Amino acid sequence: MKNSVRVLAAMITIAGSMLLLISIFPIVLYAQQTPQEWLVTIDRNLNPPQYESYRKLINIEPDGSKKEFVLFSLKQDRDKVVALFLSPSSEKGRATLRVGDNMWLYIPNVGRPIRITSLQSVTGGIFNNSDILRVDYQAEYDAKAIKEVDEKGPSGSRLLQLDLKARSGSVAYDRLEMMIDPNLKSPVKIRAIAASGLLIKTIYFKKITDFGQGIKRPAVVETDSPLHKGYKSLMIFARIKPRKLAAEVFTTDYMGRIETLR
Amino acid sequence: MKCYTQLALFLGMIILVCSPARVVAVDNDLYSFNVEEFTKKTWEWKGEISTTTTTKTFNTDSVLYPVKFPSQEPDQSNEFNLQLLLESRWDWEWVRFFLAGEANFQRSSVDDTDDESTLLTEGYFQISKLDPHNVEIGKRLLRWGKGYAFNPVAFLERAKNPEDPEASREGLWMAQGIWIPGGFSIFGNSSVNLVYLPVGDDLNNDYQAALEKEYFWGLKLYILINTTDIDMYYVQKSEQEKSDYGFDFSSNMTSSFEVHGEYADINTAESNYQANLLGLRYLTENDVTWIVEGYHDTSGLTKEESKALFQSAKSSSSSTSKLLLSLIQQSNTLNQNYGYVKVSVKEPFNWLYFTPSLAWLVNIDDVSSTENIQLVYVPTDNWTFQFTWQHMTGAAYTQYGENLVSNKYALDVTHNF
Repeated sequence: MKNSVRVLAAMITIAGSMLLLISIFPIVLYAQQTPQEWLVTIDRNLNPPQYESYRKLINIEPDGSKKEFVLFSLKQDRDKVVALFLSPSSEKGRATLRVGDNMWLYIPNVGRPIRITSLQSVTGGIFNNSDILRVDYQAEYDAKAIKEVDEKGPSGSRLLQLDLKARSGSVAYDRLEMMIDPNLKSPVKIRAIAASGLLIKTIYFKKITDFGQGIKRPAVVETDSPLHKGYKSLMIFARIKPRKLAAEVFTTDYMGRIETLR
Repeated sequence: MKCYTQLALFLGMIILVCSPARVVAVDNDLYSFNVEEFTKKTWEWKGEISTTTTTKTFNTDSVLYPVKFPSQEPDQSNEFNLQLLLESRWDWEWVRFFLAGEANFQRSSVDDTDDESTLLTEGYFQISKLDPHNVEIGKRLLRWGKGYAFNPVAFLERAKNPEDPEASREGLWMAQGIWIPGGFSIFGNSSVNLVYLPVGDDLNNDYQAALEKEYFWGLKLYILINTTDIDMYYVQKSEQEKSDYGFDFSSNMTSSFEVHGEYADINTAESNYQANLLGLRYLTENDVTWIVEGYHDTSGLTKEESKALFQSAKSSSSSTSKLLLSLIQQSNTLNQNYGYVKVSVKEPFNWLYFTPSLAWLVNIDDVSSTENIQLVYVPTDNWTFQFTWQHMTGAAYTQYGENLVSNKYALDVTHNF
C-alpha cells in the first residue's frame, strides 16, 4: 500500500513537472534566442535571401477615395531592393533602387537616376520610400531587448515585443517596437518612433499566406499614422518566389532595364 | 481665346467621361490583387494626350518686339495645343527595340505661328543577349549630370531649358556600350559607358549649328562611395582634336537632405570655357521640397556685353536684328551667373492631390528673373490638370526684362493611357 502511494506520488510529481515544463516550454524556447537572433528569424521569414514579387500599393484618403500602384520588386542580400511601377499608366516604367542607405528614382522621361531620400515618398500616402523599398531590418537596426507582453497574437500566444534601435541617423525611424507572434515567427505590428519619442506610424502585418517554396509570410502590410489622421496605406503581396539575380541588376545603370526581368 | 479655352475644356470633359477609370474609385474587395493582368508581353506601349490653352502677353517695350513683329503689333497671343506622346517597347529573345515619339498640333491667334509636327524623340535597339551589360544603337537621349535646372556635363545631348527643365527633348543618333562590373567592383556600385556620336550631313546635322562634321567619343565612369554618386566624363572630338572633361556628384547628407554639383571644362577650336553647378534638395517635415541651384558659365556674356547686344538689336539693320533675335532666343542661358529656386508643397492644408509650386530663375548678372507658379491637381489615376503662370521681371536691356513675352498663362489637361 505504501509502495502504491509512493508510486502514485512519484507519478503525480512527474506529471506535474511535465505539465510545468510544457507550460513554460515556449518561454524556455524563446529564451534560447537573443533579440538579435529573433531579428534574423523575422527577416528570413519576411524576405527570402533573393526573391521577386508583385505588390499592389493602395493609398486611402479620409474621404474613402483610393489611389493604387502596382510594383514588380526584386531583392538581393540584406540591403538591395529595386521596384518597378507597372501601373497606373502615368507611373509605368518608373523604377526605384535601394542599396543600403542610398536610394534613387528613375523616371523614363527624365531618363537618369535621381537621388532620393528615405523620408520622401514616390507614391504619396503614409508609406515613405524606406517602407516601399524595405530592406532587412537587421541592415538598419540593432535589436536591443525582447519581452513578453499581455497582448495576444493571431495564433493565440502572447506577443513578444522586440525593441530595435537605428544604427545611424540616416535611417527613417529612430526606434521600432516590433510585436512578434512567437508561434508564427512573424511581426504582427510595428510602432515606428522618432528620436523625440513621437509615434510616426504603426505598421500592421495581416493575412499570413503560404506563397510556396517555403515562403510563408503576411500578404498584407497596412499602415496608419497619428500625424495623418484618417489616411491609410496598404501593400498587398503576390507571387513571391525565390530568384537568383546578378549583382549588376542592383545598379543605377540597370534601372532603365528592370522591366526586362519580369 | 474664349473659343480655344472652350474647345480644350470640351475635349478634356469628353476624355474624362469616356475614361474607364473614373474619378471615384469603386471599393471592391480591398485585398484583391489579380497579378495575371501584369504578366509581361512581347509588345507593350503607353501614351499621353494633352490639351493646352495658352495666353501670352507680349512685352511691347522690348527691343526684340519690333524685330519679331515688323508688320503687326499684337498685344497678346492665344494658342491651342494638342499633343500626343507614344512610347513602345518590343522585347524579343536577343534584342529589344524602343520607340518614343510625339505629334503636335498648334493653332494661334498670331499669324504664321500655326504648326503641325511629328517628332521621333528616341528609337533604338538594345542587345538583350549582353545583359546585364548593354549595347544600344539608334536615337537616344543620354541625360548626363545631376542638376535639376542646369547640366554643365551634358556634353552629348541637346541643352536643357532651365525655364522648363522637365520638357521632353529630342535624342541624337549614337551607339552606346555600358559595362557594369557588379559583384567584381570594389565600389558599392559602378559602371563604364562608352558613346560614339557622329555629326555629318546626314546624321545629327542639327545638333550644333556651327558644327559640320565631327566624331565624338564619350567615356563616363560612375562609382558609388558610401552615400555619394560620382561620375567622371571625358569626350574626345576627333576632327577638332580637342577634348572635354568633367565630373558630377550627388550625396545624401541626411534622410531628407541631398547636395549635388557638376563641373565641365569644354574646349573647341575657337574657345575654352568652364561651367559649374552646385545645388541641394531638401524635404522639410511638413512635406515642402526645396531645390536650390547656382550655375556659373565662363562662356556667358557679362552684364555690359549683354546690354550692348540688346542695344545693337535695337539699332541694327533688320537682318542683323533678326540674327541677334535668333541668337538670344536659342540661348537657354545668356549671361554667366544664374540662380534657381523651386519650392513645392505636397497637399497643403489637406487639399488632396493638389501640389502648388513656385520656381524662380534669376539672371544674377543683370538682376532679371522669371517666376513660374504651377498648380497641379491629380484627382485620379492618369489625369493631371495643371495651371501655369510665368512672369518675367527685369529692367531695360536685361535678359528677362527684354523677353518677348512678359506673362504666360497656360491651362493643361493631360491623360495617360
